[in-house]
Amino acid sequence: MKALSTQNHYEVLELAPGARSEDIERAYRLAASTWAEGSLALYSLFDDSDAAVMRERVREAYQVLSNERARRAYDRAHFDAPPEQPRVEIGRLHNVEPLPEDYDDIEISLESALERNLDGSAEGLEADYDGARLRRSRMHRGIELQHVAETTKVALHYLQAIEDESFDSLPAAVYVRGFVTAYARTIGLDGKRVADSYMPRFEEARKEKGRGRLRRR
Amino acid sequence: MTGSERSAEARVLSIGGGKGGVGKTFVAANLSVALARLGQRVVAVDCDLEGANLHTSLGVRTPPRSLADFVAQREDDLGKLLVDTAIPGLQLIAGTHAHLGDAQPNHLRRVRLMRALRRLDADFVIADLGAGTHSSVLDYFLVGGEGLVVLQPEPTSVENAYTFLRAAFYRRMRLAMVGHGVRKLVTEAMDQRNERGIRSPIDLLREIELIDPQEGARFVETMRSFRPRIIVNGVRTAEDVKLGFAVGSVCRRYFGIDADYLGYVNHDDAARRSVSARQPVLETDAGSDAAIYLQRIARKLLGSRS
Repeated sequence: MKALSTQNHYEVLELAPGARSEDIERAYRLAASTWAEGSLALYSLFDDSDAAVMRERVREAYQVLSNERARRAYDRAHFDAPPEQPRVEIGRLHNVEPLPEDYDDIEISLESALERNLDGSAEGLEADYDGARLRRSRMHRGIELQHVAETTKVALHYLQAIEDESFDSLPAAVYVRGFVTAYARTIGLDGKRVADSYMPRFEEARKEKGRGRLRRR
Repeated sequence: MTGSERSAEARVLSIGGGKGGVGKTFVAANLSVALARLGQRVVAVDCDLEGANLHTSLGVRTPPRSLADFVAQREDDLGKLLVDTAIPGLQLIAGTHAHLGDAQPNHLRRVRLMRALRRLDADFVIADLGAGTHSSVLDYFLVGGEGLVVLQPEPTSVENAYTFLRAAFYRRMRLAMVGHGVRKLVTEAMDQRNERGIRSPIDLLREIELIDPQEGARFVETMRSFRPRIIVNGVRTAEDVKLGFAVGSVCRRYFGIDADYLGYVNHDDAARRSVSARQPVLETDAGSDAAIYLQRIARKLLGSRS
């Protein structure tokens, strides 16, 4: 392990040279929140002056690596042969394991590295998208519900009701279908597939309720 | 099971984390069940002789025999301390019945225990450790083979997890060093306010390399083999989920070690209900999020070695 002062920009962000731009984005976001002031992960191990040094290095590294021209110049200066942009995984860090074939959610995930690192093959084996599975997928990608609400412009309480399957609190099916599709896309899932899977649950529950009302009459 | 000689040793997973109440025993019990359900032969061992309750988490009545009998040298055959659980493929060595008068096991006795655990006729041995950083806890964590650290997304838990990792790290390093001078240096570095200005293990390595490059190389090698993995328990938000990555990253910076993120378990009422019911959540509420997350971790363990 090299001292921080001798590490290059890739090492600072825990990336391999030749990392894809989406990996750089992801690594930067993670590093920025890890070394942020008041970050829980630093508590009792690093004081803020140490963290400030790291923040500065992370910022510098990102500034160069996120800019194509600056990055090329940097690579030329630091590596004998400029890396050919191979599809380098971030595996050095996260022990990336090959995915089972049936795991199709991951590739389109926003936080694919997070997915690959944490998941066995659990979700791919589940057939239906119910509210609980949507919540798990969202959490897994590190996305707060508030963020989904802001991105989709769907009211937070509707999104919450979709996750909780509080079908009574939701409007007509045609709207709900739109909400679910938008929700799914925001967390990096296939909107149509998720809606096709979720909506029968909603419609079934509505029918049940309708039958109950008729009986009572 | 046949009486034939098994060539492979059991994988021993030691579950620690410093703080009490973060869910070590809950995680240990449920990972044991999850691995057994995946067809593995599992022995859950309660190494927390002062606060034994793994048997309770597994729904087993206080067994008459326990690890305390081995530690106090009343019984030398660990196999005779095994009791069955209601889950096929899962046996238990409880930690109950420790007498206050029992001698504390010394380092060699602990190493013997861990060796005996590896020789149990099982695929996995899950060792549930006590809280704190007593040298016995550290030894069980270090000698076990694979150390898992459970923490919760709150400052007290993170602080204790780091204290625990620091203590384990330095103990491991000191035991690996040969030269007297270098050992002394490691001991000094454990005090965070040491006079040499050694603030982190990385600083310590620089100092050792100056004194003796060969010990420096040994230090690096030992460092590489120290690979605790992280489980975050009680997550409520997506931010909490990401804590495991951040802690891994911070460990790499501070210790220079790889501390991979193994997975997380959510804050779940089903989990709390299962504890009250004195049953694993995988038995009481197999469809709960907590159960699903725990099974995910078990699958990951099965597919990887640290």
